[in-house]
Amino acid sequence: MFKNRLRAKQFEGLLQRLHADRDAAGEQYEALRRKLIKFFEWNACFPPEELVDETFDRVAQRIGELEIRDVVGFAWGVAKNIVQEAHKKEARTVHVPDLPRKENPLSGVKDNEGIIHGKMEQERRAECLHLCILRLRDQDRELFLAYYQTESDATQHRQQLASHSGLTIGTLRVRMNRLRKDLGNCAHRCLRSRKMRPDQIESQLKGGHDEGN
Amino acid sequence: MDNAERKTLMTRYLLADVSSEERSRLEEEYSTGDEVFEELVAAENDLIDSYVRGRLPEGDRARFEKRFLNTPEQREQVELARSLMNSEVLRQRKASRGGLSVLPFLPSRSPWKELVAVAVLVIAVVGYSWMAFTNWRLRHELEQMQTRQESLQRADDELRRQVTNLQERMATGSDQQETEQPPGSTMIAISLASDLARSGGKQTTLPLSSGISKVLLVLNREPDSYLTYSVVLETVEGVQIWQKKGLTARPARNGGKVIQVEVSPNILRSNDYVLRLFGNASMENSREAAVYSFRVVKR
Repeated sequence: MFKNRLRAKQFEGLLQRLHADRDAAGEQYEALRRKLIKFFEWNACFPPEELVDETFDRVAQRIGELEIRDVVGFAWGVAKNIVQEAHKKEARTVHVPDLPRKENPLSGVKDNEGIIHGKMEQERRAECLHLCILRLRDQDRELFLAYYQTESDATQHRQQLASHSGLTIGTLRVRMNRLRKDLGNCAHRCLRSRKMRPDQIESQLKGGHDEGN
Repeated sequence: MDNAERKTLMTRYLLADVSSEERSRLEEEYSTGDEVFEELVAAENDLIDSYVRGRLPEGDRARFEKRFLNTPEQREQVELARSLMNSEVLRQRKASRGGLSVLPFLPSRSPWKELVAVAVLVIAVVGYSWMAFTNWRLRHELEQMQTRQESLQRADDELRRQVTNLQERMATGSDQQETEQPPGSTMIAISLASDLARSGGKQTTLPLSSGISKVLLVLNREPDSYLTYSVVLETVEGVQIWQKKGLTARPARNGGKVIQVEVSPNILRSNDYVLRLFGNASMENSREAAVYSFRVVKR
């Protein structure tokens, strides 16, 4: 089902149908891709990236065969079909339970190594997040921290924050979503880079920060 | 549907706890509208934050774990939220806002900027208070000075009235008047007309008894342009016995001028005297303006 990948020619055809200007078409493609990934996640269809590729593959194939006026709407229709197919497949799938385990003489012993690894991972993640937050632009950092610092009555607090910042609540929300995603990407690269050389680390972080902005 | 209900619907959608109709409607909305999509993404982030803070009810918690911990990317999102919750940067910001924020209604960016704003406010209040106090103090002093000036004006008016009264009495024949002075001192005043003005009229006589301590010679003059005057007292033989400079004239009721000359009785004997009046138009320019004569009779 997921064997076919979007070929270059078909991809170009899809972009042209999204927008006459290639850059604008690229932006629309990325925006649609992001929405479809979330759509599949929220419908418990995994892995979402592959399902999105499948969606675009089918749309690109049909573009040459059918008269499609609304490519985006057509893509959503294909995505919904894929969700239904995935759910049907899940319903037909019988999960084999694990074999019953024999009594483990060490079952009462604490997994200290696992606990230590977990703590180390947490510390690395915290350090990376700290670094990524500091790398944000001052204004973005202040806004982000102010947005997430409250623990109660977030709605009113965020409304006030938007008002004081001269933004609508919608604009503030979009900016926060983007910043959180950028921080996540930055922290992910940073965690991976812990296994790299120092020059590779810097290159990773810098490239990711520019990319994220 | 208000914002709270909408947020609840979105949360329920994310936890797969909605009807198929509600699902279809919401998916239709966010597939065609970017704002609704961003609202859902924000709701997802809030849901993840609630999960890591342990604020989800048990049923929702189970649904969340079933739907949001399936892929490495999803688990990474949850761990990011957990790290964010424990973030030192966030904790420090909360601590600084709680400790130093005195203007919570301002979108403070830095506790130092808040302190500066408060300092400016305090300085402005203190400055205004000082200015208000100084203003009140100056007004009070002005009022006091005005009162004092009024008092001095009244005293001046009284003195002028006394002089005018004296002049009138002299003009009606009472050339001399013994004025009641403070205990132990008696003053006698005589009004003199210049020899030219008198034109041979009777000589003015000054009776000088032993109890007189001051003699006031009131010299009558026509209006002139002299600024100051000086007098020289001589005997008729021309011997100078006394002089005084820096005298000024006052306006008289008849339109002329009067110059008051205070003389000590100790220098006067029973004799005829001549008082020469010199007018000073400037420091260097002085000329004889009038001559007055009188007779002293000691008793």
